[in-house]
This record gives sequence, structure tokens and C-alpha cells, in this order.
Amino acid sequence: MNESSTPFKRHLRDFWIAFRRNKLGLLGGFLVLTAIILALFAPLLTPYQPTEVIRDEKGRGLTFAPPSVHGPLGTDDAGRDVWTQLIYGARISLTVGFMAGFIAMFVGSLFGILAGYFGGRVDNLLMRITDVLLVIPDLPLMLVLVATVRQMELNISPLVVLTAVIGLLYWTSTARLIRSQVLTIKERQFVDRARAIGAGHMHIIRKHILPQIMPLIVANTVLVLSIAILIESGLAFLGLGDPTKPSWGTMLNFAFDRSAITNGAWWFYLPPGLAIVWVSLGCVLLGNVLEEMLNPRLTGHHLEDGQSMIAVSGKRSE
Amino acid sequence: MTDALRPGSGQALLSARHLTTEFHLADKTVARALEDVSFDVLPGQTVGLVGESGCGKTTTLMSVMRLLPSNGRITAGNVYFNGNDLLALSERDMRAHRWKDMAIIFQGAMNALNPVLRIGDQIREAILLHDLMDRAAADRRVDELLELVGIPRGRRDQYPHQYSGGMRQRAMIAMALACSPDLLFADEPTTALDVMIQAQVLELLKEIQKKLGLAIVLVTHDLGVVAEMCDTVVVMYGGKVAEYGSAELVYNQPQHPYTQRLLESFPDLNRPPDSANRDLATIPGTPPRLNALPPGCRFSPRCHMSMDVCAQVTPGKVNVSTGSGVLHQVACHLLNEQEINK
Amino acid sequence: MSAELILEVRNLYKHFPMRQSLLNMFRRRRQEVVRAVDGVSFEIKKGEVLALVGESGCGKTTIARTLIGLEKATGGEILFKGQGVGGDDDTSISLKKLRQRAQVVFQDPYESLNPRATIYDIVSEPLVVHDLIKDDQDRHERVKRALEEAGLRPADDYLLRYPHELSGGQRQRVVIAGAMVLDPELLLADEPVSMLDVSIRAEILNLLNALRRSRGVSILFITHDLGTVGYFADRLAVMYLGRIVEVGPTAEVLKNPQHPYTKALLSVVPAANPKQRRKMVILSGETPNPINLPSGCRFHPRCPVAMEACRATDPSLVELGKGHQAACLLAK
Ligand SMILES: Nc1ncnc2c1ncn2[C@@H]1O[C@H](COP(=O)(O)OP(=O)(O)OP(=O)(O)O)[C@@H](O)[C@H]1O
Ligand SMILES: Nc1ncnc2c1ncn2[C@@H]1O[C@H](COP(=O)(O)OP(=O)(O)OP(=O)(O)O)[C@@H](O)[C@H]1O
Ligand code: SF4
Ligand SMILES: [Mg+2]
Ligand SMILES: [Mg+2]
Repeated sequence: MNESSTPFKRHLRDFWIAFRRNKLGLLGGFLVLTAIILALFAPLLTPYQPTEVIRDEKGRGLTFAPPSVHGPLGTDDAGRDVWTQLIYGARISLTVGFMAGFIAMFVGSLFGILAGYFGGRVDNLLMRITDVLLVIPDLPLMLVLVATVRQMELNISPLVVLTAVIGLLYWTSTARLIRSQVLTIKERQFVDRARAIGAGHMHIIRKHILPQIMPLIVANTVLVLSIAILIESGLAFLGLGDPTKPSWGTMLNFAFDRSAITNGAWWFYLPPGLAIVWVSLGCVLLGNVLEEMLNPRLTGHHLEDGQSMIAVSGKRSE
Repeated sequence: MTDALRPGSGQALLSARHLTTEFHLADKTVARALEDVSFDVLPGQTVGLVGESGCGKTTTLMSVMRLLPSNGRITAGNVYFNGNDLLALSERDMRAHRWKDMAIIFQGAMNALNPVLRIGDQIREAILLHDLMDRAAADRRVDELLELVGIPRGRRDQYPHQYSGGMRQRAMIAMALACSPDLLFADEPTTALDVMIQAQVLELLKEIQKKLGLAIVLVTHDLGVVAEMCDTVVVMYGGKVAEYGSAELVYNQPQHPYTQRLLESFPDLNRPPDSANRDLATIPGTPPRLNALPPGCRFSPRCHMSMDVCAQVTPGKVNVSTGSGVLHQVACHLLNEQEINK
Repeated sequence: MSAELILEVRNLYKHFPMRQSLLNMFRRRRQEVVRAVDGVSFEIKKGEVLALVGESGCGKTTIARTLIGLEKATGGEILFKGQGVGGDDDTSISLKKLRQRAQVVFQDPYESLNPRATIYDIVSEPLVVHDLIKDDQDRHERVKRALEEAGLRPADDYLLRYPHELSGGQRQRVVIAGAMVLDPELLLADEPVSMLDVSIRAEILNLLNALRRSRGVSILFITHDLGTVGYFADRLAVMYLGRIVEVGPTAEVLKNPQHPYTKALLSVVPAANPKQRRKMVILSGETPNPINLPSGCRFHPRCPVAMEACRATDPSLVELGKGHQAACLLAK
């Protein structure tokens, strides 16, 4: 039966119609989408490799060439094309950010759902873990962890380490959010009804809890993505990235190290900085709008709800 | 009680005449929530407004009080209070009538009390809002009111969550009575309460009515409550008055098929089934959507008596001749007597 | 007529512990409990409708929830067709099995349907949960049949809709369809019509009545509206503060109520006719909270005919003939 696809399509269409009207949401979507497209089609958008040194006619490396001399964004201290680095860097930044964001979201949702749904001891245990993580300052801890892993020379790519550390530390707020939502949903009568017809925990979580919090998860994922990208940039800026696969943060790190600022080479440090702002702003806008739009609609009952009438009287009388 | 349906006949406290109210909806259509609604409230009388959900009961009250939400407009008709046309007043003059002459207990308001303010304080604020007296006098008034509605003095300083449903409704009644109105609108005052508490609240309304000579317009969808309380009944369907008259006549000789079916579908303890397991009468179909009303009589698509003419011509109001001259009007083609002169 | 017993409840207790303040814990105060259900016994025969009436908070919903295992009974025995529920021995049935044979209809049709599931998913969910479907074809057929039986015709129009696209009455029909799709032997209907409009109330009552006749399903019909009881309950049980105070054949109890509480409750049901207004026995105050129960007869503080003895003696149900029982010292 293909019937089940129809309501979904209807949902999607309704959603798109509402979304199209929202200017901020569209802007956010545009910002994120452009970044993704640049990253995806990077090889098509530049003739160079990110590590390739641009040489002038005499075969000398073209160092610190401003945009007027070379390419759209000039070259860096080693004569590499900044535009090329920027769009290849987008691949690294976005991949690490997205992977880390998804890990965080997954762990956070899992903890939140289990804690909220089962309550009692499970809740206590999971929430204590969350609390502990919550009180330790994130950035210093991540620094220490990444540095330690690197010291151990385990032959793991630094990017994987970064992803894992961000993903496994940055889920606490999500877990709390999801948990509180699950706590209210679990009290609702349709969950009782599901229990009363004999449904098991897994069935209830899958069919009744998840669909209600999915919008929240989606919106929150987008928000967490922006934070993951920011953190990745921060850590990479501090030199914890992979120098052979520069992300935007790594670019900034290079620019800082090679005194791009004192040299006035703005085209070296501004583009990665703006790119970070571009993507995280896009995520935040998109996330906020999604959260607002996907929030489950409150439905009242006609014999009970007087709220609207009260509001009216409050507004009109005196 | 002869035909009091003439404006300014001096008798009626409140008369609504041909009241028509429209709502502008988000999809740019217009919903005519009320059309040609007329009724009278005599001093000290209780009038019941009954009908299914969405038939326009609350809208009627809001139109009369001029408290419609911003997308609502009264497009035709008049409302006379003691002979003054309320719709002609400025908002400021209207405000002078509200609460002092007529007060309202909003639908569901008892669940919307401010949870962080003491009940007594909330009533006092309501009094002070109307600029009638100073703080000390208002405080004394609160005590009077609480005594009137039977809330022990010791509970004045409690919060809404410490009150049960019945007590909260009493507090709402006290609040509505703050400025000693002549007319009280009560919108579904007992809907969320169970029978015993409902009986207490209804009893309280009766007592207060006797003590203060108050006229009451009671909105409810419970036919039993109306029968218990009201002298006159307005049965509404789809924004129009289907049947209007003295409660005795409307209940015992209902003329409109809608009223007849409504009464038959009401599970009445005192009319137990002759044979066990007899089915209750039902009204098939659903009430009309207001922005897509059927032509002719609004009840015709659901009516078991409907004729060809019903789907074409809107029936006018007809006086049911009872000989005694007691008020009883019906808007149905089944009754073909002279139309009431407008 | 000694019909088969579907449900037997013996001395059912459900006490909710109150949250205890730290101070009281420190003072070693006894843990206070809400005695929501406090020793209730009744039975339902095959095809019978038992109405359970009483004021808000007297424990009606708690009984239904305990019966279906949503709450764990504090004490007492629940036998479904003579078998205990969830025990280890062979004579008891599993909770899951019980939840197949008995179904609940909740009060609030606006809350008891998952807003993000289609009607098709909702009605077929019990079949999925109990693994009773052969294939999609079968599933489709059975959902359609259930919907049509519940009065939603043509069923195809409803399958793909969401609950918010339906009216209150239609939603309650969906709930009933979802309950009947398993062909249960017992339906626990917790105020199924109290949130519906008058004209729709009658339709839902007729529907339940029709199901009882066609399927022979037994119904525990919970309500606080005595008006609806006369129409289709075979027997009537009146509850006050966690106890059944009067029970008997509906007509008998309505005509000849013996407990003062039943009398009061009957007297305040408004008649749908202004000519039949009569003296109401209005009890003052509200149902007290079931934490500190009065001594003796728990009704005595509100009872209009209480005697001195009522303060001391807690009356139990006495047989008055034809299965009519009342728990009052005056009932003979
Ligand atoms: N602000 C509004 N905008 C648009 N339509 C409205 C508005 N308020 C009410 N309506 C419509 O007007 C009609 C009459 O509503 P009203 O609230 O008066 O009904 P009611 O008889 O009081 O019903 P209930 O018993 O549910 O309280 C309904 O169809 C409702 O949908
Ligand atoms: N989970 C709970 N924890 C503590 N007390 C509870 C709980 N559930 C119910 N109670 C209490 O038990 C008593 C009986 O409640 P119940 O919901 O069974 O009443 P009811 O007869 O169904 O009332 P209503 O007509 O309002 O639905 C009430 O005093 C209620 O406050
Ligand atoms: S036993 Fe006494 S107090 Fe209880 S109901 Fe009977 S008369 Fe009233
Ligand atoms: Mg209303
Ligand atoms: Mg209940």
C-alpha cells in the first residue's frame, strides 16, 4: 500500500508553504545551503589544489598576493590560493561540524528519551552523568582531551578525534531539553491508551514519543550544528586541527601564526572568519524558525477553553 | 407577557433586535456567526440560550456586551438597554454600562484566574478597575461579595489552586456582581462541574437573583439546566434563532424540528425508556460551516421534516398561536402563519 | 439466568502515597495516602452494562486504570473470566492478554489520539501490537470494518486523516473503533460522552448500545451524569469517596434509591422540562479529599439524615433483595 506516503507528502507540502513565508528561515536556509554547495562542488569551482603553490612567471611562489593580483581572494604566506583553501576548508569544517553535531544529537536524544520515559533510577543515573558534564567547562576539557589523545600517538586522524570529542561532550543541553519534553508527552492520554492496548516500551517510544519530539530534535540538531562548527573552529584555531587538511579554523590559525594581520593580508584571515559566521548564523536562523514552526500545535476543547475569550475581554474592556 | 418584541416598549431591560455579526477569517472569507437574532430580557427574568457548540451563543453575548474580538463586526441590528441603543454609544459610554449595568461570567473563566494572586485580591482588583470606590471600601465590598456567594471569609486569602471548581465559579460570580449589575450573563457556568456542584452553583444564582432582583442570561448546551432555571428560552441553530418562547411552551410543545430532536436526544432521567435499550433520537449530520451556509433554512440538510421549499427560502419568524398570548416564536416553514411585523 | 462472569473485582484498594515533606519525614510522621479506591467489589456478567456513577474525585477513573493495569492495585483481587491477572500460576492470564480482551475508552477524545498518527495507524495499532494481522490487505479490511461499525462511513474517507481534522464526536468514534477492532469482551468506558455536545452524546451512547447488542461486549460505563444511565445500563453502582455505597438493577435503584447519597444525587439531575422542577437535595460542600476519611460512615458529615450512630459505625453493603444493596445504617 502506498497510502502511507500521502499524508507525509501532505505534511511536507504544508510545511513548505508555511516555511516559504518566513523570511528569516529562508535566509538561514540560503546561508547553510550555499556553504554546503560550495563544499560539495569545490573541485569544480577552482583549478587549483588547496596545497598547490601559485607561481608567477618567474616560477617564484606568489606569497601574500592580494585579490587584485591573484584570484578572487589572493594567496597566503606560502603562495597557496585562499579561495581554494576556503572551499576545501568548508568540506572539513562542515564535515566535522555535522558529524559532531549528529553524534551530540543522537547521544542527547537517547539519554533524554530514556531518562524521561523510564524515569526513576534510569533517570537519576543519566541525569547525574549529564550534570557532571554540564558543570565541567566544555572548552578546557575538550582541549585537554584532544591534546591527550594526540600525545598518545594512536595514529587516529586528528579530525576524527575532534569530531568524537565534540560529539561526545556537547549533548547535555539537548538531553535536558528532550527529557523535559518527553516527561510531558508521557503523561498524555494517548500514551496511556497505547499502554492500555498492550503496547510495549519500544513500540510506545517509536510510535508515540518520537513523532512528537522529532520536530524538536530536528530544530535542535540544526542549532547544535552551528555550535559544533564554532567549537571545531575554535579548537582548530588553537592548533588542534589537522594541518594537512585545513579547515576554516586551521586557516585562521595559519593566518595568525604567519602574521597575516601585521602584514595587512586581510584576504587571508577575513574569508574564513566570515565563512564561520555565515554558516553558524544560517544554522541559528534556520534552527529557530524550525523550532517555532514544528512545535506541536496546542489544541484545546470547545467546552473548556475560555482563554481566547478572556484575552478578548482583557484587551477590550478597560 | 405578551409580545414584548417591540423596542422601547418600556418593559424589557435588554432587547436585541435583528442582531447580525460577522467574523473576518484568515482565508479572507466572512463567516456570518449571527443573523437576525432578536430576544428580550425582562427585569428579574432568566433567559436561556441553548444550542450546539458553535451555534453562536457566546458570540451573542459578546455582541451585546460589545466585546467582540478584533475580527468581529456587528453589521446590523440594535441592542437596547433600558431603551438606550448600546450600539450607538461611544466606547467610553459603553464602558460605563459594562459591569455596572450588565456583567458577564466568561466561558471557562474560572480556569483562567491568575494563579499567583489571592482570590480576594483578584476580586478587589476587578472592583478598583471600575473606579467606583477607594481601596478600603473595595475591601469591605469584597467581604460582602464573598459572603453573598457563600465563600467563607477565611478563604479570602487563598490562591486559585486551593479552590475547587465550584468555589472558583463562586468567586467568578462574586467578581461579576462587584458593581451591582442589573443583568448578568453567565456563559456555560456549570459545564466543567459535576452534578452536585452544578446544583450548588445554580442554586446560588437563583438565590442571588431573588435577593438582588437580577436578570440572568444563561448560556448552556445542557437542556436540563435551562429547564431548571429559565423562564424564557432561545434555541439557536447556526447563528439564527430557531425557536423562542416561554420555557413551558418550548419544552412541552416544541414546534421547530430542531428543538424537537434536541429534546428527544437528551437523556433524561425522569423520562426513562419504556422498554430497556431503546435508542435515543439523534440529529444526523453536523452543524453548518458558517462561511458556507446552505441556502434556505440552515437546518434543512439535517431536518427530518424538510420539504422542497426549505432548501430555497429562508423561513421567517412566526408566532405560534397559543390563545393565551404567551410568547412563542418559531422560524420554520412547517408553521405558516402570518409573519411577525418587523 | 446465570450468565458467565466476565469480571470480578474483590476488595480492590488503590492508595496513592502523598509526597512527604522533609520535615514530616524527620518527625517520623506516618506516610499519608490518598485513598482513591478503598475496598470496592463488583462483578460484570457477559453482555452486561454496569454504570459507575459518583462525584468528581470519588475514584471512578482510578478503578478503570487499575483494572487495565495502568495502576498497580494496593490490595484486592481482579479476576478476568475467573482468572487472575499477571500471576505466576497457570490459572492467571498475562497483562498483555488482558489488554487484548479488555479495552479502554478514555474521557477526552481530544487527548486520547496521537496527533501525529493517521486514523488508519491509530485503529490498526492494537492489531499490530498483538501481532494479529496476516497482511496489509487483512489489516486494511479490518480497520475499515471497525470504522464502519463505529459509524464512520465511508471508512476510506477517514483512513488518511489526522485527529485534528475530525470533530469531537468523530474522534470518539475512532477511539471506539480502535477498541472494538480487537473484538474485546470487556469495554471500560471512562466518561465517554461527557466532553461531547448533547446531540453527539446521544449518537455515541447509541453506538455503544448497538455494539453491546451485536457483539455481546460487557461494558463498565463510568459517568457522573445520571441522566445517561437509565438509557442503557443494566446495573448501577454509586460511588462515594472510594467505596460503592449502593448497587443494584438500574431501574430499581433509580426508582427506589436507598442510600441518602444516591437520593441526593438523583434529586439534583435537572429534568428537561420546566414542569418537572422539584425539590433538590443539595449537599453542601465538596467531596472531601480522600486523605483524612471521616470516622464511621464516610458520608456522615454531608448526610442530611445522619444519626449519632453514623459517626461510629462504618456500614457495609446490605442486601435489600433482587441484588439491590446499600451501605447505610438506615437501609433495611
Ligand atoms: N474570533 C472569531 N473568529 C472567527 N470565527 C469565530 C470567532 N469567534 C467565534 N467564531 C465562530 O463563530 C461561531 C459561533 O461561535 P460561538 O463561540 O459563539 O459559539 P458557541 O455557541 O458559544 O459555542 P460553544 O458551545 O462551543 O461555546 C463558531 O462557528 C465559531 O467558529
Ligand atoms: N496519580 C495519582 N496520585 C495521587 N492521587 C491521585 C492520583 N490519581 C488520582 N488521585 C486521586 O484519587 C482520587 C480519585 O481520582 P479519580 O481520578 O479516580 O476520580 P474520578 O472519580 O475519576 O473523578 P472525575 O469525575 O473528576 O474524573 C482523587 O482525589 C485524586 O486526586
Ligand atoms: S449511614 Fe448515616 S450518614 Fe451514612 S448515609 Fe446512612 S444515614 Fe447518612
Ligand atoms: Mg461559547
Ligand atoms: Mg475520572
